[in-house]
Amino acid sequence: MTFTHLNVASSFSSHYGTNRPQELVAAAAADGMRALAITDRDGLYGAVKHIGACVDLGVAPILGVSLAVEERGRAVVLASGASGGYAALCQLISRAHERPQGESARVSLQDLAEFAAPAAGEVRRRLFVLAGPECEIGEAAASRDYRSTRALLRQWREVLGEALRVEVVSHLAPPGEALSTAHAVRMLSAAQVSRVTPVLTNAVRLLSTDEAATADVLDAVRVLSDLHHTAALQPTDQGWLKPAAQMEALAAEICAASTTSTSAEELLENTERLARQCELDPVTDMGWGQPKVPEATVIGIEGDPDEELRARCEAGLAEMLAAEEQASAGQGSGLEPEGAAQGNTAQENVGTARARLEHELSIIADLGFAPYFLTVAEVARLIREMGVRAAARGSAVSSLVVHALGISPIDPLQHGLIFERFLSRRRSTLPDIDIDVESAERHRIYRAVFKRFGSQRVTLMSMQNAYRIRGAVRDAGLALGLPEEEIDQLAEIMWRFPAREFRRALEEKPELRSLAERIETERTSGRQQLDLLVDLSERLDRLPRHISTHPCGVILGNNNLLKLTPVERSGVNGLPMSQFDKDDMDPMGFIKLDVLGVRMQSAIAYALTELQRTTGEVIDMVKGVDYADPATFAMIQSTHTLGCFQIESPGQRELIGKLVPETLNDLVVDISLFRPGPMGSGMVKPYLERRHGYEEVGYPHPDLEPILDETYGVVVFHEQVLRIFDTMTECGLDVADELRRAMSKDKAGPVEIFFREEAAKRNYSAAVIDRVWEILLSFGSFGFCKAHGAAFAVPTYQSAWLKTHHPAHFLCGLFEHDPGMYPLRLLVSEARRLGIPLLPMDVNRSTSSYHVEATSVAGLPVWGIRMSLIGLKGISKAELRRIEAEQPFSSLADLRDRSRLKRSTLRDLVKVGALDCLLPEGRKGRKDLIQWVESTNLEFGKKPPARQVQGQLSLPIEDVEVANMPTGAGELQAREIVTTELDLTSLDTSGHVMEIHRPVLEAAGATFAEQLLSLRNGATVRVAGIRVATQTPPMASGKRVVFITLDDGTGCVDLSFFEEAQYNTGECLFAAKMLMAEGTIRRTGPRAVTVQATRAWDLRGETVPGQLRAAAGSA
Amino acid sequence: MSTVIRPEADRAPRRGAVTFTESIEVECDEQSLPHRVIWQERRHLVVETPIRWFQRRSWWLEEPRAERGRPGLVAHEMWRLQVEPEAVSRTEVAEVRTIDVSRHLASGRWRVVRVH
Repeated sequence: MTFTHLNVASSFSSHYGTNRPQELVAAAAADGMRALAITDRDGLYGAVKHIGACVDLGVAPILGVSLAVEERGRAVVLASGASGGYAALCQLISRAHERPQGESARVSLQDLAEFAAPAAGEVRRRLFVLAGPECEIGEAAASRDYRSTRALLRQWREVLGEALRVEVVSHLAPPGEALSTAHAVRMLSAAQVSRVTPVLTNAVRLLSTDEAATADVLDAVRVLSDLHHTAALQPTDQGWLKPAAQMEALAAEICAASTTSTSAEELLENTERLARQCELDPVTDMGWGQPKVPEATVIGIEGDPDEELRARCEAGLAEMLAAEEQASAGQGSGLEPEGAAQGNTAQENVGTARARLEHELSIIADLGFAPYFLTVAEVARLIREMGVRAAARGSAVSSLVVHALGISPIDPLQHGLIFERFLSRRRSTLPDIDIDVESAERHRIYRAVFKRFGSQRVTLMSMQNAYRIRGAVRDAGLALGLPEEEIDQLAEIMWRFPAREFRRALEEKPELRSLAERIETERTSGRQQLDLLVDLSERLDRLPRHISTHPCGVILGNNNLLKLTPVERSGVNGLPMSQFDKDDMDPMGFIKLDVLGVRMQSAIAYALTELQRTTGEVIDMVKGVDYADPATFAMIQSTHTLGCFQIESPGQRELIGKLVPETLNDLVVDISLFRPGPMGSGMVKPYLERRHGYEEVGYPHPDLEPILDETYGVVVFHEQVLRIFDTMTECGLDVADELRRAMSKDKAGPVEIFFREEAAKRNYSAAVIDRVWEILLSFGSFGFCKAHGAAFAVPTYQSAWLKTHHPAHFLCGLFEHDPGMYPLRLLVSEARRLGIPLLPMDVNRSTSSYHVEATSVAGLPVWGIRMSLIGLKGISKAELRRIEAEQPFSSLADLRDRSRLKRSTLRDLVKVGALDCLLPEGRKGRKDLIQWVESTNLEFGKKPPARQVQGQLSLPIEDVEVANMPTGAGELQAREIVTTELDLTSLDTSGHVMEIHRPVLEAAGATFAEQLLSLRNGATVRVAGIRVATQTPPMASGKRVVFITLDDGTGCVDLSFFEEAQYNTGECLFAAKMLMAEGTIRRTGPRAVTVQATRAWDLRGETVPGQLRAAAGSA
Repeated sequence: MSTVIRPEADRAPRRGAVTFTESIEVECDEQSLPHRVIWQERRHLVVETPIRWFQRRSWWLEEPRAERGRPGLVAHEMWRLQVEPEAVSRTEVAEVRTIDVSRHLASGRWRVVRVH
């Protein structure tokens, strides 16, 4: 006899289940079970993974869900194998989530009945419902309320009829308690009395009893409590995936204790019969693996999609070739990468393009993907029509079809991109086309896509957020009842290691050294909480915490989409979101389009809008910009690239300083080199050496020269790897891409045999083959797809060009959309460094956005940036709206009466100087006003008068309150002003935050960023600043190096901390917000300088050098 | 901080009328059901079908560690046994007594935790 578990929660029941579906299926298969259900709470989040594992291991899959039933507790609902069973389950779950915002998912009994009923023309039910211990019937039985138990069961039976089963569960809780055997016995007799078939489950939430402690923690966290005060803890550890033999024994134990006539055999048979009725065939029931695309008619095609695609591509190509001809005649300055023509005649170019188009179209036709390309083209058209900036990204940029359809502006032929890197007859996965759009317009685009294709064909994709170390420590701490402050401090010192390796990290990581010592001391004194915290954090690692909307995935399907995936409301925009994540797309045959909101695109768009508003100038960033502008490259070479797309990080600034890019193609190389693979594999150094002529450029064989000459003989791009394989083995580019993939998956063995044999057949010498294989092996699997690099280089250059030629407008765009990796205050600091006037918040001039404003410095006109009121902490959207609507204000009284601000908002506006404009003597009077506001508790003398009648002009009476204000408090000091700004806006607008710490810096003899380039290599320095970035990129050596960037007001200091420096620095390495560090200067290129730290201190700590002397000086 | 309670510690659990723990030897039949015990140096027979359950523990107070691989961390197995001395002298009245015994999963040792 076999047993099938019909109630199984996986870890996708967040804060409930403890094991991944794959683990559960593997255990079932190992026990020889023929089938296994997954019935996660509120959704099918783990269903696709469950089915995948079942298919792999030959277990029949069953799908269900545990849903709250309106006022009636929770029940498990199983999809039957009948026609429409799976669809009914999806639709029921979607119905459960159709609730007002903030309400949890639930259905009514009637909903259950509606979806359980057989499909038209069918006899078999679509769903089965298990009434178990968690529903009202089970609860009544637990409290020994026999009458209610039976009455309620009859109610359920009346509504659900034959779809209902009674679920008998015993977790062997103490006699008399819920989930005891006695509880199960009561359910069994209720079933018999009410003539509802009973089935046995184990209400599984654990793989084994070993996971029970994890479940305890999850139970506590779910109700936001600690273990000691959580009533909802599982009664025992018995809710695990018991083998069939144990379930049979359990059935015997329950039936023996029961007075009903139901035998154990009968109970088990009932269960097995239901299981068989619920087994699903993934292919017929849910279209497993079959691609689903919008119907041709929706895209507006009547004929053959392949023909339609060809026609559109040919039209697009003709248009482009015509434009190219025009441009080359007029020597236009637009986006024409060098090597565009490469000495070819126009005619040759046309010929090459036509041949390439034919090649791509034939592959797309063979794969049947024409409707997909037409769908994406339609989305691209929608985006363009909305006037939103967009750029395609990823390997799709390699396709001429994608270019001809207007999805990508990059011509793959000009960059030597290979279609097979994107799509080939040998690639089984669905193609992926990514489109970057302005982040601020993302949700508007999603809505347009839903409208265009119909909401029955479109949903957003979801993603599961899993526990990482900080979250794990926080929740384990919560469960153990640690004080919140202690939890915060603990979480702060944790830095990016897998939570399951916490114990090991305690031994190895210098920043955890003092924690390890504390654990040791507490252990000896009998306090065990920190020891437990480590174990529990390890247990939580990688468990799903909550679902959220994927940042860019949109699923486009056909009319049946909502019968194939349950949807729930997206938390970010309220649109329907699939319960499936990106890994579920391929198995489900769902085609997703990535529409990624890129803040830089929004920042550029905003800069251009501000430019047009203030100067009337309209710039076409594709055609109207010189992509070989010397001034722009000079700026890039200076490494002052903060705010520029892709090249602003500390590591990139260092690489730029070494590489010294001179052309757009250099940027493509730079971006491609700055990836974990290339950085880790050591291909950067030979490239730089050869580029600057320190090393001779050579090629293993003359055949490879045309492939490798653009990168001085070094393999950087995937495209080069493909061409090397193809040239030396004539394997074709599609096979070449497979070989490359195999190598990156550590399956180089068979690839090597193939390469050596085939290359030898083509008369390459053994020495050449050895040399080339060595190169392929060391770099081949790490390279970067040139298509990605080319796609990124364009916005990179655009941002650099704007920063060079319109710095105020560009930085204003950055302030507004805050796109980069750094805090906004660093960009403010950068604006100050560039001499852009930062105009403070002003209640008459500032709005809810940042704006460029004409101003003058020393009598010369310059563009300044007016700070936005949105940065003021605590100001509400409504207050912002009222201020904007009522501006300008003539007096404090006027502001008070018309803007109706909260007292705290008014007070804070005074403090940051936004009301200086209303004071007769401006900023000089601010201190008086602050004191007056604080002492009068904002009473403002009188009560505000009744609101003015619309249209009536107010009399220009003098502001009585201000006239009465006591004066003489004097002026605020610069550091007081900065401190207040930081407190209330997180930005130091009027001066740099480091000004406050100047005495300490001076006492310690600190060096500033702007002076570092003039110091000799190896010089010892002290530097200090506010932390703006912390990174631990993968290193070739495998050892952790911590890179910290400090902003000291004159620029950025980039520090590296090796092992010993990490050890010397300890806890403040990741925790301190301001640091002072000691180290030596390392010059790595003409413009590249870093400080190799020996140790660092918390700048506000007591042991920091200079602190004592500074304190003595100020005393 | 409450006191540390370990299952094998001879200390009274927090609930129950007559509660203490003492060692007991339990012999099980083929179906793994207890059928004979040696308790207070006397052999007893289990005279009714034993009742089994699991008793949860406040492991976060009682245990210094909670890593994976600690059997019986969250709950331990309990049996309620009705036992009667096997050999009774003529002057003695055979008394059936109800005892709750626990099995420590890691060591396989049994303890009496309650006498009813």
